Amino acid sequence: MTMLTTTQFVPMLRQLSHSDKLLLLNFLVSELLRESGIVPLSIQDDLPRQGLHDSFEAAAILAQALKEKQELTHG
Amino acid sequence: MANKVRFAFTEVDPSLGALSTLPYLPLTLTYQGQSLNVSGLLDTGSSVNVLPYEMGLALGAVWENQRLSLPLGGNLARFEARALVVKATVEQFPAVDLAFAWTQDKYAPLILGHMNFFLAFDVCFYRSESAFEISQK
Repeated sequence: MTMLTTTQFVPMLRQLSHSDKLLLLNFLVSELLRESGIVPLSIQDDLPRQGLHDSFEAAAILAQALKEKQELTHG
Repeated sequence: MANKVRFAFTEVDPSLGALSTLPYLPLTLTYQGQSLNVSGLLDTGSSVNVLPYEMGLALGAVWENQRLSLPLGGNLARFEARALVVKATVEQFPAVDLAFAWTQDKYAPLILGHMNFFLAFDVCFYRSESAFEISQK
């Protein structure tokens, strides 16, 4: 298989439709992000987020606040 | 003194009737001598108690004086929350300290969650009867 040079494939790219050019651009960006180990923002939005059901750090801080209040009250 | 008190679920949307009933608990919150009668949603799916911003203000709490900031998840993640400990009285039970995540979200509901409502009270749900019973730990 012979490798195309830039001067060879740019004219071919120009012949692509507008939507194909966008898809190609998207492909190239995805490739570059993947090679760099970066999670795309669109995927970050889909990642599971902490909810009220697992706000355990907040629960630990509330426990601390409660302890401080009770130490203040009972000495 | 009865050690258990039974409450009916609250119908939220009359057009949906029993389908829209939720376990709201009437209680009195007291902070530095100022009291407020409110209804809190018993939420076993919440790891924390949540106090809406306006309710904290109505109790006389000052946002700037609360030094413990805490991260909330879900819809409330966008708003800053700070720890606020208030006295809570349910029916004839002795008052207990409840620690709330006081959120700046004005539209948040009053939520009674695991830390620390469900540590202070035992609750038994009878969903088919649209009722729940509560007893103090």
